[in-house]
Amino acid sequence: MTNVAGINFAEVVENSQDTLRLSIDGTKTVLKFVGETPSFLVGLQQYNHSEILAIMQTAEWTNIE
Amino acid sequence: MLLRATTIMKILRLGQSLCSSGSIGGAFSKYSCLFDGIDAHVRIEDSALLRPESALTVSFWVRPSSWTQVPFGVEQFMIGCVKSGGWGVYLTKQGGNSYLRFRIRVSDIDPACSGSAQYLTAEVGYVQTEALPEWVNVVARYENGRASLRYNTLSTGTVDGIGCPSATIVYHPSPVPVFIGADSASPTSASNFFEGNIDEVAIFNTSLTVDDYTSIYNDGSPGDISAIVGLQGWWRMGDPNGQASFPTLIDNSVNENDGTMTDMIAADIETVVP
Repeated sequence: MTNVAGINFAEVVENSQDTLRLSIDGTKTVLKFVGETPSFLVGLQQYNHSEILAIMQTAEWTNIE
Repeated sequence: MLLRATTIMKILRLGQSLCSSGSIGGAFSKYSCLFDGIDAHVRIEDSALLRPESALTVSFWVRPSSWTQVPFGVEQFMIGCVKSGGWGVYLTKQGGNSYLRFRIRVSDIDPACSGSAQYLTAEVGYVQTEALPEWVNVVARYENGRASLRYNTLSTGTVDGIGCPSATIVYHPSPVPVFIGADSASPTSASNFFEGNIDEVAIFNTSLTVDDYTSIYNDGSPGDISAIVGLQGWWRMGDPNGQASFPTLIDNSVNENDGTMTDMIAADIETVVP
């Protein structure tokens, strides 16, 4: 997926494009869902909670003070 | 404007992995909100009532996933509007140790002081922070150039942030939403996300007395704080209606400045309470 226009916000937890968490360089975002994988996300990388937390705490996603 | 994203990462939520040994309160508070440390937060819209300038108290109950496992250099905000000027309370790690801190932006307009805006930081030392119990009542106060933190009414190991006695709290001129479970990255978006549960959040436009915050602590059991003078906002994080409240968290003060659960689900309102 190359842009956020393809996100169906009815199928994910995130409210809207305005509330998406972006990586520091703005090129990536993270989406949460409950239950079955939404069709527009099939085939993309998935992580469980602890895995994505570890990723979110890297310099790619978080400003280290 | 479309935002380009070269990769979309996804999370498969695996139930209530953060929920563990909390208990259902038999008294006043029956619910708290779980924040996932990813993007979950509660947004409280800008209000002049939530931008006191001379004095401030912020009180809440918090149960982080861990008091010690915050990554080095990361600031997890339990509540904040720091990047909008303002203030915030956060957990961070420096030099291998964890600290609970309260940062507030003030203006030292007195020529005898700096004559400009600066940030004051109060903290709970790492020895105390790392030994905190599962649930803690945090009270952050500012008045007359002094920022302070109390945990379960205690001051042992705390260090106040000291500025000019005439300094007032400064906010940016743009809208200043307050985020619970995060800080403000901008007037419209959140950052520095917190992982854990938060309950009974209150903002006052006064610096509460020892008697006041001892009353709030109530021997470790949240109670009715509506009679405390200066209450500007009080979000009970799911009480009284539980998950039926989603996505609106009612402001139980007279000001009716409700919060909105953002990037969250109804199940994030949990029966895990102090």
